[in-house]
Amino acid sequence: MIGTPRLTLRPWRAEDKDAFAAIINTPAMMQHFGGVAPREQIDALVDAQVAGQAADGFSMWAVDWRATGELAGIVGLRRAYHPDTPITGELETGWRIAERHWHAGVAREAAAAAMAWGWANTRFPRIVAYTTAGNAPSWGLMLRLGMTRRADLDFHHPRYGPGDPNGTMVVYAVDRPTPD
Amino acid sequence: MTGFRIETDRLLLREWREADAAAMYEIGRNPHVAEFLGPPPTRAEARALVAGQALNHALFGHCFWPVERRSDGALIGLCGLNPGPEGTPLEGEIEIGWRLAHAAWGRGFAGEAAAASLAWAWDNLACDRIMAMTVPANMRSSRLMERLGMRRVPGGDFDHPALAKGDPLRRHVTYAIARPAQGVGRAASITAISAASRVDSASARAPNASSAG
Repeated sequence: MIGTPRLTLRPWRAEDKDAFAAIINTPAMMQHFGGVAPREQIDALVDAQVAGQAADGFSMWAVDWRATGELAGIVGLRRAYHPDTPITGELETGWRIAERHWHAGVAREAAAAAMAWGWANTRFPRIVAYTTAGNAPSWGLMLRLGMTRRADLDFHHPRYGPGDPNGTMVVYAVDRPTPD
Repeated sequence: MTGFRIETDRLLLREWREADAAAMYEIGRNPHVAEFLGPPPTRAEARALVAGQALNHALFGHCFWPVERRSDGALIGLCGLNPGPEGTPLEGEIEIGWRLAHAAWGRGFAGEAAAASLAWAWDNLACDRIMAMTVPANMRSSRLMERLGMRRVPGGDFDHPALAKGDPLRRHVTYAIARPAQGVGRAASITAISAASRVDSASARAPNASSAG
């Protein structure tokens, strides 16, 4: 468990699936992920985090809004798992925050805490993140988190066809901070 | 035609309008543009950019002007001259700068607008030199500075005071170009960009802008 002023980041439980689908699988939330998805895909995302937590000790964690205990999103760390990309196997951070909590710095608060956890508890030399070029709020946050645009690491997401602009990923990265 | 205009073969540098904020918002929401300029602006920040530059133009007679493509009237970015920011090596100097929409890159528009801005500065300002800054990784920008005849200022590297410690864009390098000797400089600076510019500054206000304000 990771606590921040407003949030708790914690491993997923099977019983989170209904609440997760309710906040995540909306047209606005899925705008940059190919649109509203079948429920099985959403459930599989939770299953993958449970498996990742067991294997690595970290995952894209469930984010609870502390004041109410409600699920507010998913933020955390994973090994970038899509095969044959320039960042496969690297420590990746990412976020999806429920619409009702947008524009309030929630993703930034959670991601900064997740990255601090990553530096403290893993030996990865850098943390990467990626999104589509059209998702300015997301890559804007990557910049605000101290990440740098890394065009040399860009790739086409294997989930999307070769000509699909949703599959054109822009990659950002930040090196492990050196103590000063 | 009334008001300020600088025309080049393909571009028009003019005064700001409120409606320009929408285009500047979109220009900043491109990851290539943001790579060295920082996070994309909110709509409010884009409006503030336009208002701030318009204010500079009113105060000093120059600013980073909006750059319009004459063929279709599209706003493709900004370019021009501002008082150098306080707390930087450019303080008290005139700064030249530019920002173009990613879709307009690679066609020499920035060089064409910058050469015209430099020519306007030598004609209308009393400054002895023009300066510029960028981050070390922004090779497109520093290469253009060199094509404009600017040279890196030894000892001019600095941490930008508006950016937090640890921000990867905090470190900056400084370039400068001296006012050319009479009769040679202007032609040289423009042919270096291979884009002849016709500068119409007859109606432009031209105060002595050596004050950083």
